[in-house]
Amino acid sequence: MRSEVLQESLSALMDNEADDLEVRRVLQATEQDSALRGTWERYQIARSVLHKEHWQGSVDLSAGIAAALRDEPQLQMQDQATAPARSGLWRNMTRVAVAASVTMAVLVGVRMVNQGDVPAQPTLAADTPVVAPSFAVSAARSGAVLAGYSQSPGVGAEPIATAQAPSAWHEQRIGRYLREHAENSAQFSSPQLVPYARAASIEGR
Amino acid sequence: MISKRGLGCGYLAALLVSPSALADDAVTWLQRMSEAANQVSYNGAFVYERSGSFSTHQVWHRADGDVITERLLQADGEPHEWVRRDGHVQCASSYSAGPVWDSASQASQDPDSLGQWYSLEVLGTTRVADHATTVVSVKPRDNFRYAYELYLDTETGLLLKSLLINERGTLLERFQFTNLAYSDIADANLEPGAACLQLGVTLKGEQGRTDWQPGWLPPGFTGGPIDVRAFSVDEPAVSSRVYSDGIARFTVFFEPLGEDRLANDLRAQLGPTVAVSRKLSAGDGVFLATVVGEIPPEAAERIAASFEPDAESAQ
Repeated sequence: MRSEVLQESLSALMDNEADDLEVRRVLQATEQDSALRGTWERYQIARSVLHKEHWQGSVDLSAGIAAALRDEPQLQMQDQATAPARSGLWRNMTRVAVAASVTMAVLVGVRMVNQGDVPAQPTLAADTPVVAPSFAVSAARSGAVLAGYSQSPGVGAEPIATAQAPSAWHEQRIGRYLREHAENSAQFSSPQLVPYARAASIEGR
Repeated sequence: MISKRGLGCGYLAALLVSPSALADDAVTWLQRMSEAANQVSYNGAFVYERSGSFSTHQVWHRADGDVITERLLQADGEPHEWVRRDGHVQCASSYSAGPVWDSASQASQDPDSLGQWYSLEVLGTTRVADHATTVVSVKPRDNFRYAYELYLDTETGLLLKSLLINERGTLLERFQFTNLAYSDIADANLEPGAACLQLGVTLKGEQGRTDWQPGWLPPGFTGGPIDVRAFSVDEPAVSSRVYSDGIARFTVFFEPLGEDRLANDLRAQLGPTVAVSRKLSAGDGVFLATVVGEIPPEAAERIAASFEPDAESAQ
C-alpha cells in the first residue's frame, strides 16, 4: 500500500469522506505502521481548536488530557448513493450503521491479528495503557453482542452483514431522542448549564 | 479584603485545608457547586464546544429567596431562548422533552455514593472568566462512565467551566464562561423575546409496553420513573426511562416498530453523547430500544444488547 494513497485515505477519513474500503485499509495499516498512526495524530492536532490547560498548583494534567478535540475514527458504512445527509444534525454525527454485528465483525477481524498483544480482560482498568481499549473490550464481548443480534448464541464468526443506512424515520427518531435526553437533563441544577448547552447544540445549524 | 460581591467571607476558610483532606474537600466543593445556583444572582456569557459544534450563549440568573428565574439566550445564529423557573422550562424556542426526573440532585445529596463510582480530587486553582477557580477532578473507577474536570468559582462554588474527557484522555466537550458578573438582575433581562414560545401540550399516550427492561446496567446507575408518551397524535406511545449515577445520565427509549417505522441496529456519536439502537423481536411484534447518554459507547452497546422481556410478561 503506497504511503501517498494511505495519506489520502487518512485525509478522507478525517473529513468523514472515506468509503468503507478506505476505512478498512486505513485501520489495517495503522495497526502495523506507527508512523501512519503518528500522521493521523498530527492531522488531528493540526485541526484542533483547543490548547493545553495550565493552572497554578503542583499538579500537571497535560499528560492526561489530549491537546486536541478529536473525532473517534468511526467506521462509516453508508450506501453513498442513497444516503445524502438529511439534516444538519445528521451531517455532524458520525454514523456506524448496523453497528452491533457489522462493526464488531470487522473490528474483530482486524484485531484478531494482534489479539496476542492485547490482554483480553472483561473489564479494563482505567489506567491500563492500551492503545484502543474500546476495541479490545468489544472484541472480548463480541460473542455476546453477535449472539444477541443474530439470535443464535454460540455461533462463531458471523458473516459480515450488508451495511444499511438508517431509514429516514430512524434518523429523525435518533434526533428526537437526543433532544429529549438533552432537554430532560437540562432541567436540573447539576451540572448546571452544561445539559442546556448540549440541548442547544443539537438544534443543528 | 472586602468582598466586592457582598458575600460572606466564610467560603475563604475552605481554602485552608491540608492535602490529606483532598478527597473530602472535593466532595464539599461538589456540594457547594450544586447549591451555588440557588444562592447567587449573576449574568454572563459562556461557550459550548464539542466535536462538530461551537456555540455562544448569554445567561441572566436570579436567585430570589425561594424562586430561581433564569433566561438563556443563544448569542450566535438564531436567537434561541429558554426561560426557566425553579428548573422548569417556562418557554423555549424549541422543546420536546416531557415530565422530568430530578435524579442528579438526589444523588448529589449523597456524596458518599458518588465516591463509590468516581474518584474525586481537588487539583488546584486557576482562573476562568477573570474569576479565581478551584479545579475538581472527577475520575471514573470503571470504564462505564466518563471523567470530568470541574472549575468552580472559589468564592461562590458556581460552575464556570466543565471538561468532559473520555477513557483515552480525549476531550469530548467544553463548557466555559467567558464573562461573569454577580449582581442583581433587572426584570427586563428576564423577559423572553419573541423566539421563546409557550410550551405545547404534552400528549399522554395509552399505556405502552413497559415490561422490556435492560438486563444489565453499569453499577451505580438507578432508574427513574417510566414515562409513556406519544410524540405526536397518530403515533404509538414511546416509553422512556432515565438512569443516573449522580453525574452521568442516560435515557432508554422503547417503542414499537411498524410498516412506516423501520429501523435497524445503529450506533451514532454526537460529541459526548452516544445513541445506540437495537431492534428486538417478541411474539407480539418488533420493537426498538435506544440508549442515549453521555456514557462510553461500549457501555451503551452493552445496555442495549441486554434488553429482555420481564420474566412475568405474558408471551
